[in-house]
Amino acid sequence: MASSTSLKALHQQSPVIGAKFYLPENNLLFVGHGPILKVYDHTNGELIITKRIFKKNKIHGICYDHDTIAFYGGRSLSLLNYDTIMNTDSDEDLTGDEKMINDWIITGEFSYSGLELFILTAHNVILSIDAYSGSLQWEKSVYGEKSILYSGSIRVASRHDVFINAGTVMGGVIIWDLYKEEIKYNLQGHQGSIFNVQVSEDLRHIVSCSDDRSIKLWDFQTGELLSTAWGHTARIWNLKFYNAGQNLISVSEDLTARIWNIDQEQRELVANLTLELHHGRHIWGLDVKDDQLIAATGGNDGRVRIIDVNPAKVEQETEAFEIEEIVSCDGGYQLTKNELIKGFWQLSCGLVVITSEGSVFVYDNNKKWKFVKQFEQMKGFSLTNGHSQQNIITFTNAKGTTQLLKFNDECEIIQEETIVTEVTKIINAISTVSEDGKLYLLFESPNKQEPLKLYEIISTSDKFTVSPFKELTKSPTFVTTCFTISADLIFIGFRLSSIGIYSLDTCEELKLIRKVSLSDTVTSITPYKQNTETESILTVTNRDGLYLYLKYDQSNNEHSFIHANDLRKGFVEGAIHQQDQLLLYGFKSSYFYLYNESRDYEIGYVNCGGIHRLWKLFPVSSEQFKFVFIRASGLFIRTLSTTKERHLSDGTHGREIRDLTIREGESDVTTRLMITGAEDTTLKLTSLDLQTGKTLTHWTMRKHTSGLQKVKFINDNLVVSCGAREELFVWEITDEAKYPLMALIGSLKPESDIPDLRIMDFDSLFVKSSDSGIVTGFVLGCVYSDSTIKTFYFDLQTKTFTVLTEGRYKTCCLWDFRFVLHNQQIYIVCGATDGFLTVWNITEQLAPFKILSEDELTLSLNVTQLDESRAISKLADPLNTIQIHQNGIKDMDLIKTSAGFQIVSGGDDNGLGLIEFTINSSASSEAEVESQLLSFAPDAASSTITSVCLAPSHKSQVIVCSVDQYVRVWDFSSGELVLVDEKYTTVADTGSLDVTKGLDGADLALVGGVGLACWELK
Amino acid sequence: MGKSSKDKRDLYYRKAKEEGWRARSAFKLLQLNDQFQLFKGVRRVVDLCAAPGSWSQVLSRELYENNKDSEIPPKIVAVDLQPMAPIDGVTTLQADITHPKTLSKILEIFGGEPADFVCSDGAPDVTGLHDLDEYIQAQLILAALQLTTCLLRPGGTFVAKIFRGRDIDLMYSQLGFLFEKVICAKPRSSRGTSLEAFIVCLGYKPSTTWKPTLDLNVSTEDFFKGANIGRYELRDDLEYEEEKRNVAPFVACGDLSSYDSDATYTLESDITRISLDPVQGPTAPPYKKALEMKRNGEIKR
Repeated sequence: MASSTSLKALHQQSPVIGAKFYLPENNLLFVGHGPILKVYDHTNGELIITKRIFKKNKIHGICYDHDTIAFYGGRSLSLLNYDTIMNTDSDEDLTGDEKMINDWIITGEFSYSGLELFILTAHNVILSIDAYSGSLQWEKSVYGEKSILYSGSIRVASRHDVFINAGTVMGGVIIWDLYKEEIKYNLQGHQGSIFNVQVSEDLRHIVSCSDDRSIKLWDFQTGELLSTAWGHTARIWNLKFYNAGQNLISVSEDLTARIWNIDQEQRELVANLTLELHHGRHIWGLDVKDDQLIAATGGNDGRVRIIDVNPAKVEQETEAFEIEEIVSCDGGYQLTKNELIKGFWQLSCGLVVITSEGSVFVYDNNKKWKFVKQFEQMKGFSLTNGHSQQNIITFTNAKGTTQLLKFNDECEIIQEETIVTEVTKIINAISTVSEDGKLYLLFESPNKQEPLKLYEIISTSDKFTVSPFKELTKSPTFVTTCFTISADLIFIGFRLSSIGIYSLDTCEELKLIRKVSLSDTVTSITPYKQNTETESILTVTNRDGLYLYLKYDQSNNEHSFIHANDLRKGFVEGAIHQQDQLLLYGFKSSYFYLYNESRDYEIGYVNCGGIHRLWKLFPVSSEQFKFVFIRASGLFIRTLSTTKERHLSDGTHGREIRDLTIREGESDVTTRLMITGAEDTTLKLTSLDLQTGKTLTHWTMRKHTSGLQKVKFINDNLVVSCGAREELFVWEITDEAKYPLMALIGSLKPESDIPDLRIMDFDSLFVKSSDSGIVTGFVLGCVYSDSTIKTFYFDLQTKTFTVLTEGRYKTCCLWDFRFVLHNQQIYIVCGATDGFLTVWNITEQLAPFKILSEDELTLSLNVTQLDESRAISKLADPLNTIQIHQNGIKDMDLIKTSAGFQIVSGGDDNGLGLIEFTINSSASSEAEVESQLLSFAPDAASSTITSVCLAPSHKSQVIVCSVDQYVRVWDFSSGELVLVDEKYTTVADTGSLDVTKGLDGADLALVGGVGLACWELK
Repeated sequence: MGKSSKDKRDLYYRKAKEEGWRARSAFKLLQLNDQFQLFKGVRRVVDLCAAPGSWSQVLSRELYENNKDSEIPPKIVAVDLQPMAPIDGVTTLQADITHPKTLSKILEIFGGEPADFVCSDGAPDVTGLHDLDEYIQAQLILAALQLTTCLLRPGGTFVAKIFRGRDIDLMYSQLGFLFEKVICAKPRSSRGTSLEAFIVCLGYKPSTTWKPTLDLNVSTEDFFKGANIGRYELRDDLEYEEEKRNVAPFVACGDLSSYDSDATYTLESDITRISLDPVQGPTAPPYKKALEMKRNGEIKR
């Protein structure tokens, strides 16, 4: 029976505002995810407890006194005991304890004794609430200062001194004394609304920030403005003093946290570090744990991060040496004038460096420099390579002499060998270590006719042997930049974005792939996976930001790029595969970065001055990397360590999710692939866990340049996405063992230069060859914001679009589009901003396509009949049009019936409509298509209905979501729309929905907006 | 309205520039008036949060220009915290709408007579925190309503901009206690992709038991105490209570054949795409200095 259907929230991701370390326990962090509290063990990332605190309101803040914990947000507050929260046996729902006041709560803090909770309201009123009974005791405010606040904090200094620090909308910071009921300061100086104000624990300083994007430091004792700091490029939402008032951390709309030193002498804010932390827009939540110098941040993306905020971090992780300091380890060493460091390599025994005098020094693991030996031949010019695990280092000079050294763990030379390569000159010496542990050296001569020379060095723990060299012939115009050995193949990267593939055995060039990108250099090639004996996958990075997964099959010499994406972060120099994640590194303006591209976050950055210097990144472990570089004449070793950092919650876009799509896939799996497209213009390819409703991001695709309109899986491996600027992309998904890959295979060429022209919606019909029965492509129908309706054929072989038909509705924007196959005819249905649904027959226009299966929505085509020069058919007059809504039809879903089809439509006018379309056979005298509004619910929501989806298991039920933040289930089996269930969702700006079959016969509905929620229908 | 590439895309925006309106929102009031005859018989009107003044321009053109030869032309007062360029027949007040002095000034201009119509197209800056933005927007409407309850005649009309978020039904319900009819109206010139709409409140019916008084030390919350409009009032036990909600009827206004603000129009080729000068220059944002510093490369990572 319909009424038994009910909605249950499995998992909801929404902006994180309230975060608080619970200091009585050394490992606990309390985080508000919307109205839900999650308690994490921040030392290992484990989620310990999930409890619902509020019915609807978000948790904006958390404070505690001993074991009494207060939560507040909106007009709600709740006082709970630690044991009640941490009790795993008790009910997850604690909303029975929710209390409310009559105004927005800005902040809360316990009194000195802990017996009262002070609540500051948006009208600058303090309420005192009995911490035990939860009842209101008294209200206080200062006369004439009831203007609206955007922010505020309460500093409980002693039993008698409580200061209310209020940030007004008009640029003033009001500090008032709660018990004296008088204003201490009205600090003027900021422009625009004050977004945060704090008083240091020692009552020395006040800090405030405002819409002017500055942070101001004031003297708490005098009210004098001491310092104004700039740095954030958008609004600053939160500030916290830490480290005994010597540091400040600020978080912003610009997605960064900035760490500031408070110079106690100069009384000045000095920039220390800038950490890029979240996605989309806004960091809201912030707390610092002083004893460990870590902070928790919460973003609009729903991500919760633990970060290292030690102000001495860079200092502690950096070792810097001038050449004088290095050579001074050997008392007798005479530094030559202008002697410089010419090369280095990190070995497991230590860091080996060579100077321009050919002198080799090693910095061992006990942090001691030691002189090794001087090599006369390496004076002036040398190129350094090495094998870190095998403690082998090589120096190559321009004349072709290479010095190889092998060390033991005590940094003593155990083997020394010199090889001489007959070559005019060497300008480039690069190396790679193969998966089976062999070191390969590749030498290049500036004489373009000379082949590349390749050496293989095989090593055991105490000895290495060098093979005779092999010669590789390359195209004379190519300059080598990198190479790798995978199985028995050599992959070489060149300038001008080209890749050569050679046989390791015969050295013969098997393939040359030219111009993988428009410009610039291939900077790295890294083996990813050996699929079969002949097929391998490698990662290629190009300096301009592009990175690719190259699949090469030796048996047929075929290659393809099965993943391509743009990091959009300056130069990309290399890739590292770490478990199921891809790390990329490179340079952006003056700094070096290491980026986790799979999960889309920065691991670390180094202000090194930019790319033009000697540098190298050495992975030490999965949590530690060494970035070694030369700046001025100094050698810098920067350890990038992430041991203190972790993600407690992965999160999503951080901007409004405009559309989402779930892949149908196989039935016996526990996860399903899905894609979300958001206002940030990216698409995220994610796995949805059908059991828990949680998601795991694989890729963030940065191809669209405008906000997304629609994204859909059109079958199990093809995806189409569209948006403004007439962007429409066809993507192919490849399932690989560790994670899926996604590559753009086709794009529709824009026909106008109007940036606002949006492709609003599309639908597709797969096409099989009438000869072979194989899928050859698909017919794609699109509707545009200028009322245009077009259909195309996309050929999967040539990856090109051919325009089939063109037409226009009126002049208004079209929102929705569907194909219907019935009675051997092809119909299209459109919904528009004027509230009308309109039906056309386009069978004739789509000739030579024939209907193959009406149920499977497939056509057949004899490809030879699709002449490219054929005229574009024009849409005929519509067969039927019916007004359902007063305003735009935001979304609709369609179900076929024996007589035609039915549509459930959701409107901007809060209404939900059920419309029956009857298709009469052409022989009958009646109109070909008749429509009838069967049922209309005018107040189906209290705000715009944005999404309508048929339930996968109950085709006479629809799931509907709307901006009032409700998910509703309606049944229409009786021909009337009947509300079955409704539940509040924490996802604001609720704008998209998709459904899938879950486990154990349940259906799942995924709701997107500012956040993502997974609902179960049973 | 700045001079920008937006010129190409939004027809109402372009039309506003061509017709000399200070903002495209002028069309919203015109379309609301077409639907509800808001200006009919209006002698005294207050435009709240009026800057840059496009609604006052509409009021001036529709009420003052058409009647300026009459013995007593209709009186229009525009109030905003920001300064506003003068408009014919409109008295502009740079003042705080919550201040009692503002009320007495308006009443002075009206010769002690109540207003027939109060409107507000005000919207606060959004933070991105949806619940906070909704609260601030509601506060702005309440501030406008405070003043309205002090000066609107029984039977008068109140129109204000709203954003249809999760708690808009609370607002519908509360206004329902003060007016005969409350409608959520969406002019076609307001984009379908935007949550913006207008609450049209017809037939003011003041409470007989509650006397509204503006006082600087009384917050909007305190002001409506005793008005019995279904607002939650602070109680000692702070008990949670579901407030009354109500969905106001939705009315789309403007002819179906009028321009669609969501549509992309290809401009007729004889109208070359010249960029029109903005009618009124943009005001300096609070973060002007931060922008300059970034432009000059003074802000680094």
